[in-house]
Amino acid sequence: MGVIVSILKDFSRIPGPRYVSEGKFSGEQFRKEVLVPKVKEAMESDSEILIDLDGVSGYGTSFLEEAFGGLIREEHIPYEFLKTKLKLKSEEDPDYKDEIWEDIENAHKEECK
Amino acid sequence: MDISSKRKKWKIRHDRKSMMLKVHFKEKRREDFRLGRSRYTPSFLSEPQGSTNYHFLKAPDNFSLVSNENEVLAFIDEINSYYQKKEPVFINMDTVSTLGNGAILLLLANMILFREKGINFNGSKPNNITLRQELETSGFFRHLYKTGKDGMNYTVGTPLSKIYTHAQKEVDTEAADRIIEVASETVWGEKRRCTGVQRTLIELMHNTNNHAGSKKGEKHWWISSNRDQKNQVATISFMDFGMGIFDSLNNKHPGDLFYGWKDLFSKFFPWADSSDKIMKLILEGELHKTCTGKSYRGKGLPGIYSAYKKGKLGKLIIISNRVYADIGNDDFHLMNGNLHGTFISCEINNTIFNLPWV
Repeated sequence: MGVIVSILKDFSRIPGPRYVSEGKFSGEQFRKEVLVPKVKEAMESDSEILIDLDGVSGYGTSFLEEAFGGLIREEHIPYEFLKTKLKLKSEEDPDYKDEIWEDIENAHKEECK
Repeated sequence: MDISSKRKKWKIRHDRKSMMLKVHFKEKRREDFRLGRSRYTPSFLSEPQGSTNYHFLKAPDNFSLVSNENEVLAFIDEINSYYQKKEPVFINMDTVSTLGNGAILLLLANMILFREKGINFNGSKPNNITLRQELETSGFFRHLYKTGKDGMNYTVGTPLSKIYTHAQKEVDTEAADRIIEVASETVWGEKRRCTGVQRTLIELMHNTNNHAGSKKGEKHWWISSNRDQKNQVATISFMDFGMGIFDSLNNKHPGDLFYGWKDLFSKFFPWADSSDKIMKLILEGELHKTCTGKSYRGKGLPGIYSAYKKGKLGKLIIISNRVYADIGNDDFHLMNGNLHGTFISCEINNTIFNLPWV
């Protein structure tokens, strides 16, 4: 595995709302400060990126949507890269993985319109 | 007997007599006040400020939004009518025998509304010793007039109190986490994570921040946590005094995905002709699917409903505008009164999904 991101270790134990303006530890902040640099690092080295979702207090839906849907909508990361290289680890609550992929798919569909 | 010991004895007798007279007159003043014979205001809920021509209102004996919603809402409407007229009220809680979290939130929020407008708000503590002690130890009375005037955040009690209340405008996941941390110790005897409850609180704070007011971040959300050590259950209540679910939907402007939702919705669900029936469909994600064409699994209210269905939170009750929904008992009905906002109550008990503390 190439690049690894642990939300607990690299960002926060208590992920917050969607936008920075709405409160601390937002999805927007996570995307900009942690996720995008790591995704770009993976793109440059053409390696996989593993996001470890375990260990936090819980996720709001907006946090996940803004962080992962925002990769396509705001950062214009190619959908194909995410589809092939993005791996999610969520052993504590596997529902998060489905939600994130749904967010990515929706953002992709919106972009294709 | 020398002079100094005589003087000592006289002083003891004098102090005792003074004290008795003080107590006697204090009781008399209180009695006069209760009977409306005096304008003197005893310190009940708070210290009086300014003139005190109170309107006396008797709180419902069962002061619980969950189990006595119609009477409590009628009572709150009455308080509001005096607030609109900027007239002081005195809440008589003497005979209150049940005091729910929702009622505490309503009472506290109203007290703060009155105070912010400089209108007197006062009342008596319940005669029921247990209730009185719970309220006193929670810091409910002590903190009432200690909060800031600008009204950004309010905290009554501490997360360790049996009853803890917190109000804020931003999404505060740290506050949610702290409440769960303490509540989980009551339930399991050790700290546990409850990701479904955390999600629920985040979704609710988010809804209040985004949709409760006419602009973002305008309205407070309120959380109250009540821990029942004996039954190993914690009840978390959340409330905002925004528009409420239905008034918020009806208030959408052209261009919004939900503008004209009623017409569209009635084509797909003609049988859902009242808010209580529509509430169930909203929880199942049908409203979002109808208006946007997308599935809406796990977001907002459907997300909370889904967390409940998956056993990630216990005993879910939602009250908003005229709708009362007890999800577990499949009881969706219309109330006589209108809650101008949204109230949600859920339980942390030992059957819900939980994870080790990290």
